[in-house]
Amino acid sequence: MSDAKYFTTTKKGELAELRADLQGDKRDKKKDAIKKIIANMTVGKDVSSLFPDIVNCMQTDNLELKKLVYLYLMNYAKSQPDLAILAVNTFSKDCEDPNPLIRALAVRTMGCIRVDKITEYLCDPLRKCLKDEDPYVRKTAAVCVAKLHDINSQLVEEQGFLDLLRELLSDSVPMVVANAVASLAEISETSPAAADLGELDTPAINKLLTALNECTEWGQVFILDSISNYHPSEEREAQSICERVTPRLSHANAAVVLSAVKVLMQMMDILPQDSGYLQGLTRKLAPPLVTLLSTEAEIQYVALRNINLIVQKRPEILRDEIKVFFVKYNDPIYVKLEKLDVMIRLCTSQNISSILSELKEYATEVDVDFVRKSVRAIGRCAIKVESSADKCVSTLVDLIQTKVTYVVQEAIVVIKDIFRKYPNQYEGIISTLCQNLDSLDEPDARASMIWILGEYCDRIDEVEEILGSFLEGFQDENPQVQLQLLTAVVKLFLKKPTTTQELVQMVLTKATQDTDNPDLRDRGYIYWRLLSTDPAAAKEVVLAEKPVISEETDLLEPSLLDELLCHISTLASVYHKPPSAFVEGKIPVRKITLDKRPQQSESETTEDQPPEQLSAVSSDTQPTPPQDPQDPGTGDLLGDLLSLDLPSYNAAPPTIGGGGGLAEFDMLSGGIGGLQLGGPLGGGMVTAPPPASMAGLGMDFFSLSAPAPQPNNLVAPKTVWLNSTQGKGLEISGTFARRNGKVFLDATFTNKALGPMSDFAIQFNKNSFGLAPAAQLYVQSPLFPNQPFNTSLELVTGGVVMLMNPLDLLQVAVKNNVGVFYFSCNIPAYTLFVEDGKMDRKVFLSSWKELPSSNEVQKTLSYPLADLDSVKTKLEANNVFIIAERTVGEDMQVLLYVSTKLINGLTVLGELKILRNGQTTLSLKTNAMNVVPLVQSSLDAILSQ
Amino acid sequence: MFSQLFVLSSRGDILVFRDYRGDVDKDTPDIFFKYIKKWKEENGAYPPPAINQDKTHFLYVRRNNLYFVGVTKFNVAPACALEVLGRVAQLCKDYCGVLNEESLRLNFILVYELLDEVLDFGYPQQTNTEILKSYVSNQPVGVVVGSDSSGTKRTLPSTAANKPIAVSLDSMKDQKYEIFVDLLERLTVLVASNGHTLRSHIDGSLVMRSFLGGNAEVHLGLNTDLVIGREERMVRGTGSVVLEDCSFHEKANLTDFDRDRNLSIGAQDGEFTVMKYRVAASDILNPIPFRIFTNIEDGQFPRSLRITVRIKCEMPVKSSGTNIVVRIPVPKTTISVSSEPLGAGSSTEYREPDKMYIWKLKKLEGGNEEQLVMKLNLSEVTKATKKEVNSVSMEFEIPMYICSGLQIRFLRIFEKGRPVSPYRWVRYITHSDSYVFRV
Repeated sequence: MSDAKYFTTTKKGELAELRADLQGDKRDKKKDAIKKIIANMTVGKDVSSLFPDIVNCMQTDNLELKKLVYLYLMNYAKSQPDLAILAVNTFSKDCEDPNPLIRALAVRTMGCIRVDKITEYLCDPLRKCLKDEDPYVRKTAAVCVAKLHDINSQLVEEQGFLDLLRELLSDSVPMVVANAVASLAEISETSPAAADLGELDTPAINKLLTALNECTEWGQVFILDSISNYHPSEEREAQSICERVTPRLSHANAAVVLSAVKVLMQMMDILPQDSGYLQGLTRKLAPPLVTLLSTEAEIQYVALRNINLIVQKRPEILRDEIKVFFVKYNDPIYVKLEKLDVMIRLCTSQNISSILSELKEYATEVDVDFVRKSVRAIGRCAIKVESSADKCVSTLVDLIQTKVTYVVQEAIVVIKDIFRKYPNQYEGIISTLCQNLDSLDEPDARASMIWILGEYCDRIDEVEEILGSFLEGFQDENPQVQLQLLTAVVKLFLKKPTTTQELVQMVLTKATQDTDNPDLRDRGYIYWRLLSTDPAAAKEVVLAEKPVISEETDLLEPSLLDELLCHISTLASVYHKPPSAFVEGKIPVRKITLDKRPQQSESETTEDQPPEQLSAVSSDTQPTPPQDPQDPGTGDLLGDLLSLDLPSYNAAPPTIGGGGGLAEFDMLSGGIGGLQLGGPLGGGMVTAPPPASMAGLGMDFFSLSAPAPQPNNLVAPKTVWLNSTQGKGLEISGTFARRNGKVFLDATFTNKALGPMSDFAIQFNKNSFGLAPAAQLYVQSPLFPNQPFNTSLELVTGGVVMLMNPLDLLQVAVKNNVGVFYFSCNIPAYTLFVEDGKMDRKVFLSSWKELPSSNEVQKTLSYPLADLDSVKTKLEANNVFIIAERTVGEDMQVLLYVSTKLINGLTVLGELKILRNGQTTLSLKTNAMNVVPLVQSSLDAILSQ
Repeated sequence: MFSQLFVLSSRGDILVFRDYRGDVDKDTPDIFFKYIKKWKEENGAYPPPAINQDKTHFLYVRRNNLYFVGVTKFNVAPACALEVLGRVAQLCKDYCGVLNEESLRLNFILVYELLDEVLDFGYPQQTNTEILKSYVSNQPVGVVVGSDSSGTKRTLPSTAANKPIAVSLDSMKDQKYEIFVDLLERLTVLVASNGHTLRSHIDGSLVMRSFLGGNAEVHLGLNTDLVIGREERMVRGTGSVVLEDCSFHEKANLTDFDRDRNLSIGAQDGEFTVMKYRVAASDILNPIPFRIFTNIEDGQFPRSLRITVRIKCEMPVKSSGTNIVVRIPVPKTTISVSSEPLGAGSSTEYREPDKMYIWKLKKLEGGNEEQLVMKLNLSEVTKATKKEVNSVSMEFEIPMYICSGLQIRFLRIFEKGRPVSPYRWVRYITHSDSYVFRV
């Protein structure tokens, strides 16, 4: 009797019928009913309502029936967790069954029922099964540990299952060892706590190598994958691992072969690179890889993707096997494309002619993708093997003659690269290219053709007309083509300025005014600016010699390649992406994280882009200084425009205070607003309207980096320190301020004498905080009579410390051509409160308690504090940090606890008791009582602002 | 490893669905099939076997128009996954007799039983047909009851081996006691337009399909003058058959192989490959079995072409090729194609979307030749038009013929050291793999 009939019934009341059958006592009917239910389950119908009836069928000694019930349970237990509990008893009983098949079945199924409540009942049976006498049960239990870990990792770690699992590594049956290895690998990969489990030591590796020969092919894969994570301590060990792994290369299972290759590639890095052993190993790797290419297409594909990586690192392995990569006409397209890639990687001057004759054939095939890639491959050959360039170019010209549009377009794209690599060698073919202008409808091809036209514009007849005709449809072109057109016309103008003014004017206007594309507009402005300010510089920039393009335009980045090589025979090696790019959450712990280009394809497109774009921008990063004094913002503007593209700029922490950053932004927005560009060659003024989106960009940028508005820290008004009589005509007034975590002396020097003054210098006497000037004093010299000069001098600590009285006294000497003058001033303590003075709450509490009340000084402020919020912001702005705030008592008095730290490391704790009427008492506690008056007056000053 | 494994029919129906880890949604078959369908519409071909859909990864193989698909969230070993899927397909074939939608529906409970043992928590455990027998309790059901042949017949229909293996002792009694041995060779040939053979090699395999109940030992003798590998060639000199490279089933006993080219293997039930080999065939394939001559000339009218394709069978008279298909590409600008009438057993078909003209011949005997004359009307003729007819490819099979000359000298069956005589069926067959003539 066949099972197909179970799929057919769809009558009404079917469920009721099934239920009746399940509850009946005829075993055959039961079995049939469950088969029907499972058939329904397979096609996605919901039969979960039968759960209780099915659980009732569980207690049976018929293995077939039991399996069916278990299959159902695994599928629906999660949706019926309460009912699933009913199954626990039977499971426990089955785990004791004399038949090992039933014991294994029970423990296997139990692990698949992903219900939390069940897991605790699983522990005891699982522990028994891990030590079962039957290897089939043990190997099933080994996997079950991983299952349990997936549901409840904590439980597994607490119950010591990991140790039991490790013991299984020494089991006498290889199949058990293999499953233990697989379980451990998964657990260590997903759980940080168990990460070191995956690290195997030398004896463990030796055990695995012994088990390797005897276990199933799949077990061999698990074991080899584990070994590939092992780093041998010395060469000899690496070599002995190689010797024991090498025989796996001739296994019929591709998975075993690739895993063995992975281990060998790892070990090869450790072996001395010039040893004969390594060369022997290299020779042994070729035949198995070649054999993989005569397997099923799917495996071939995986093998080819891996080979692609392997030959990038060690091309010598397959250098003589080029012919196996020639495509067969009945290969699936995905295999054909991969073979092409590998062929190019392996091409050398020795085998180039046979490769080229193959590629030529491929280029006339039917499949469009394959043809395109073949044409591209011919170009890559030309770039890679110089001696073949002539042949490649003539092949490409032949292909262009076929007039098949996609062949022509692809050929033009690669010819552009050939021109880059071998400048001034093949212009002869440009006329052939020009015959095909009409058939170019793809942006890549159009952009490449235009690049060629621009680059060789001085040698092409009627190039003005050609470019002009492209310009007519400028708006409809792809941005890539627009950029190329812009550059090409500018090149043309620089080479033939007399006849092309109109053209360049047109393209610049179109690029800057009629477009929404910021890239295009920016480039337009840059050219325009360059041309209008300094045509000679423009020539240097635009017609600069281009950097040589690399031979391998599509090599993976070395660090990515190395990472991928560690992942040979995994999905990463097929996608050519690091695992973090496509695996969620479960990132192996050992892995080196790389912040690299995520995709090969992306890097290819940038490589394929006509190179002008890059060279133009990079030469511009040091812009010619602005010549026009009327427009001081432009120079900065250019710099800023360019830096807009740099993502790091946005990520930079906002600069606070000082206003330096703000000024720049002001300049930027002002610059954009007032941007007026002169027309090229002074041929009439063209006024560029302020581009809306640009301004928007600028604004966004502004708001991103500008600090949120906040009160400035306290700066006292300048007071006169040295009057003109004492200073023989020199008057100095000044103050101290804290900006960006530094102390500054801000002073105004005024010459009240009759003659000019010069040669200013400053010196500090020893002081309480060891302050000293960080740099030379700068005062404009000569300082003319009645001329004031503002200067700002940064101060640092580190000078000689001498306690002064009062503490904040600073004695200063200033020298000029007239003489040396002395004066003294007071440094307000608030300029010495440092930014990292915020104390941890607990530390504060304990310090506050520890300090005796004798160390407490109280003062009642002479003015009421009304607005609590402004009090807090004022304090915080001056590095007096709020630790806690409490409201107490019926009269709602507020208690603010604050801490601050002085530049010399002294900390001061404070309590502000603010009554409802605003009357405030300030208490300060500290070890160093002598700073208290200083801090008290500072806080007074801050709060009274 | 695998979170799910499912089998879909060519129309996307779920035939088997097994969830191993519960970490992926259940709508994966739908997502997968939509992806395949879309890709096929856009590219006219099947996608590569590893597919990433939103960090859920599908690995699939196609066998007999069925999709065997594994789903995972991990960075698995794709080669391992694809091998497992291939084995699952092979197991289904062994246990169900043939691999198709119907046979899977008929035996779906059995397939679930197998999948339970093949993978645990998504990790492959056991894929050996013979060993798995002891873990399944359902009886396989054959799709078609093969025409029962009596022992006196010398030949059997080629579908005779398409029956399920016997699982229980009961069914073993009814089981016919027999073994099928196939020596298969696939030819890859590329001929340049001047008739010179550019490339030719043979991929061969010796495949057994056993219904001996699993405890018989098969002894098999190959050509005594067989030479394997280049190095051996130096030592032994040129024999009649030279294999470039050769690999054996891991269970094959090769103790006598070096001496007299005899090998033995414990024949488990089901299908397995005893030996695979590769022959660089430049000397052996001389002459190659079929040769094609193509001539392209301008037609009677403007914008027309006349293509003559002549196919010659260069094998000995007693051999013949069957199911021959010749594919002739026509230029993209072709409006219509017609051909002059052909003899019996020949037919033609024009596949407009592929611009491909197909010529089918039922049979072509050694020494004979056939000719096809095509007339093409084109919308445009340029210098390159003729070049678009760049290569003619063909498919064929040659029954009872092996190009390499490899032979099975004898096939003996022993059971516990005692010779027995079950039905032994030996078949030689040569297939085209990639067989192309450049024009």
